[in-house]
Amino acid sequence: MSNIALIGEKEVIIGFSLIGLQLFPVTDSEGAIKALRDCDRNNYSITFITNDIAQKIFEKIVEYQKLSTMTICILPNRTKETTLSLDILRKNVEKAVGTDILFRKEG
Amino acid sequence: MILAVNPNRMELLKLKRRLTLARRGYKLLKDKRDALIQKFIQLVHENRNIREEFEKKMRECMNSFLIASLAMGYNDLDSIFSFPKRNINVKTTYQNVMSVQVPRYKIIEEGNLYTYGMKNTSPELDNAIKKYKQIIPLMVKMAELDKAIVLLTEEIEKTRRRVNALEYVMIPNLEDTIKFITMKLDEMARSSNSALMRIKEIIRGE
Repeated sequence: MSNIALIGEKEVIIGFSLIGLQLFPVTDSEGAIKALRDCDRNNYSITFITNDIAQKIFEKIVEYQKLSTMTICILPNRTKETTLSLDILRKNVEKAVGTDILFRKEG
Repeated sequence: MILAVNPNRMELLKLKRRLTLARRGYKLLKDKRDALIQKFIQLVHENRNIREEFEKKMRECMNSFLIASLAMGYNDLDSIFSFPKRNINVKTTYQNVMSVQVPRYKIIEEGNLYTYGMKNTSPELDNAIKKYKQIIPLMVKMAELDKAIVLLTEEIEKTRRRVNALEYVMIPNLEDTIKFITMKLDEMARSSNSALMRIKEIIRGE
């Protein structure tokens, strides 16, 4: 059994199946929350979530990132630029340093 | 604000001891906070670079996978992907960064990668799988950095709150109280002194 999990739409994540990751194909937010809870209970070390699914359950992810020892990481999309993982990063930077030192120059 | 204590010498000594301790703790915590922030910023930049690289590679991966699925048809692919024979595990060790336990992951791979027959599959699929395999270390590294950043953020917040509490509440309060007790003791000394002088005068007058 692998201890890296991957939650996302089936078409997006299926490529990782032969590599050996544990896949959790989901379509809606309820399924995603359930999958996330399962991952946490079954002691997965790392859980990857695709950007579109992560967007739907953003609050849950932030909550789990704080409480659980499991690492949650958001994967980018094929077409769009990811903003979600950068959002989390920016929020953390703001919380830690007090101001947004990372993206200030750009906008 | 003056703390609620009795103005006597015992309390004064105790408070002075607490003040030196508080000052020392304040200095140490301030150093810790600065060091944490330094490390944090370094991690953030590293994370950002890796993320950019990863996004580029991930897009390549998905494109090559798309080409493979176009060449073979989605249903065939589905059946191939339903029996993976390979496992990837990560072994977690913890590294101590300024008293924060940050996880480090070591990838352990086992099993055969190419489990499908050559007859019904296209070479594009091989390519795609190879690319997916190469991307894994980067992915794990990114996850590691993400977690480290979350953990460090919490620690920085906690440390900063402690530093502020010491700097703006604890130390001024102690200083005020020490001043108050010293004044009170001096006042008492003066009052007993003048009483003595007065008594002496009365005795001399008789």
